[in-house]
Amino acid sequence: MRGGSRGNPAESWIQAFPAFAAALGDNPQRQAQRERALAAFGELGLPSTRLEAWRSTNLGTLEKRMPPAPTGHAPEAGLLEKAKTQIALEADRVGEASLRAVFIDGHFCSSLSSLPEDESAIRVLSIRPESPTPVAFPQGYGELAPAKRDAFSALNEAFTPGIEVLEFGEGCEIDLPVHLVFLSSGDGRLNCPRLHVTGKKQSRATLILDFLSVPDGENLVSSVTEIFLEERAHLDCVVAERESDRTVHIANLQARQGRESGLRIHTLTLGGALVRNELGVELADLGAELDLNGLYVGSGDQHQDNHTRVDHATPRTTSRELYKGILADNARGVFRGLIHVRPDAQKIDSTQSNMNLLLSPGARVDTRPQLEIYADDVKCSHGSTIGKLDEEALFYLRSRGLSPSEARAMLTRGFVAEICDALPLESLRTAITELVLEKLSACVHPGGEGVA
Amino acid sequence: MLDIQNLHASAGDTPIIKGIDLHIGAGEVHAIMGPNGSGKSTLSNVLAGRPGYSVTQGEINYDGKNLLEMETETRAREGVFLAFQYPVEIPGVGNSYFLKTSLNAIRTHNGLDELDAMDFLALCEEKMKRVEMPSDLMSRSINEGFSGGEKKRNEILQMLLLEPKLCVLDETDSGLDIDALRVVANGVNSLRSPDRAMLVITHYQRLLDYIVPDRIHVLADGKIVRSGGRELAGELEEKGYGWIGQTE
Repeated sequence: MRGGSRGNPAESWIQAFPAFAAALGDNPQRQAQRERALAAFGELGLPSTRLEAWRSTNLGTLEKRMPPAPTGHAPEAGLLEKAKTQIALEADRVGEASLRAVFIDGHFCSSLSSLPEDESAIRVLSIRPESPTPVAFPQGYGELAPAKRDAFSALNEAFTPGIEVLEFGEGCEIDLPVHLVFLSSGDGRLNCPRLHVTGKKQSRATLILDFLSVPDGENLVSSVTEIFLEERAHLDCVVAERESDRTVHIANLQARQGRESGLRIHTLTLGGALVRNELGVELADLGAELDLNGLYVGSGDQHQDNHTRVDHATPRTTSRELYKGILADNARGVFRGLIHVRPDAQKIDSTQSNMNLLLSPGARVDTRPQLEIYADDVKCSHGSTIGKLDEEALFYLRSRGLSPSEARAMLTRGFVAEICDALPLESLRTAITELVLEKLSACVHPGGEGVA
Repeated sequence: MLDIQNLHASAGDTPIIKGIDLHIGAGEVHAIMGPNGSGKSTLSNVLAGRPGYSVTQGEINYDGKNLLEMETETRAREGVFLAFQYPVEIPGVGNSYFLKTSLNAIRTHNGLDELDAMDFLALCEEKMKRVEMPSDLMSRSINEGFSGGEKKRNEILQMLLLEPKLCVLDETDSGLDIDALRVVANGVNSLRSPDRAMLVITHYQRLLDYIVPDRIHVLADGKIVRSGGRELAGELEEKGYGWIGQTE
């Protein structure tokens, strides 16, 4: 990666901002917003492990790598070609889509995207430097991931090339998934994709946030997604993190749910050197239902951190959370799940579970489920487990003729089945399951070394 | 088919089997009876190659080969089958997928073509009828939520599919009601053939009313203390295992 020498990446990004802004050439309104965000970032600084929320995830690695700030220009031709090749190889693997939009280092790439002609169901209202002023920000923009609250949200707001805005129209039912591809070009720099999604009343859609990178590409990705679901809107959101094992990805996804809305978020962390998922959902109105379905599979030296926060802000809201982790080699997983029930939020039904499978002595996981309940009429349960492959089950399978590696593969596959089976749409389920199994096979056959 | 000579074996560090000699020829069905703790299950575990058991002395020759040198899966592929006393539940792995993988692993080892999904299904349906197994058990996870009887039927179904040369049944009758026992025994009896050997391990004589053995051996404290014909089961039923100890 460029830079090379140790230093303070935060300082270098602040210093590089004017050049970035000049190259991007955004309008004064957005420029002012970016500057405020940069100032907030300057005050917050990069989080250290002294902060409780970052105790298990050390960003010191960024100091060694020093990823430079983005240039403000769209990717160069050479990188674009590599990116295109990667899109061709990987993007189609999630199957057919009603819409595909590709962003390379956060820049919209029209030649690789196919947007719908009819905008009655899906509207793309993105805010980019060429957008007219005054800028029409979508309702709620920045409320869930404000720059002043968290350093990476601030960094994202300062350096994102544009705010991608997606709206599912009132009452629409979109059968095929909407596929957003966020590809990192491997230019070694910071990139900051920003997304804002609104599900209007009674809309129904499936969204894939597909984070990719070129093979062996190095990048620091700081992504921010805000999702707003209006009354009785339903959204299945699949987050597939399958970047190179040299990518650092700090992903912040925040959602707010309206009355009787249904949100299911499936977070599949397969790639990355270090991935931190900051996921927060506010159940803001009566009858809202939330499913958080998560899987992290780590091998080598991967570090995968899931911080989730479910905020039951109103009565009669429901949440179910299941995260599973498989860690091989020297990989490390972190799960911290907080269920927060506010004082007047009665009749809450909430479950949370985190299950981990360690495939080697060097693998580690830190799991901390947490309940904060301030109401009295609630039903909440949580729990976590850490275990190895069941020796008894391995023997059973081997006694039926399966080799140790086949038996381990079958058991790990069984472990993730619950997560994969919950994915929406059969074609998507099949496609994502295949990606998961590919990653699993890399964990189960590390040069034939085995558990049995 | 199976020739055990002076077998001594330990579970962990504890010696359990203290010198067993047993010869089972092709086409024969032998039963091993004995009180709890006599070493019955250890013998079946040693035959299947379960980790945690070690052979400290003696030899086991199976079909002309040294069984103890084979890995667990190699034994299975070479035709050794252990019907488990406690079949393992494996959530998330479909029973049908497991059985097909198992059958094809064994077929491949023996130079046969793998069965495709259609052929496997047809074969499976035929065998399932024989153990009166409801078809929904195939689409469920391996043994997950199966009743005791369903688990044992699943074991016998596997035996019918894999057509092993040596069948070892470890207390297959435990936890079975009389109807399930009859079904399971019918399944086992349908496999009796001149080129197949069976070792039926049981605590009770009841199973041997349905699977009638050629020879019965009584195991006590890791040794065979009595061997005889099928009439031995009746004697044991009448007098209990205490009687064996006294005659020694």
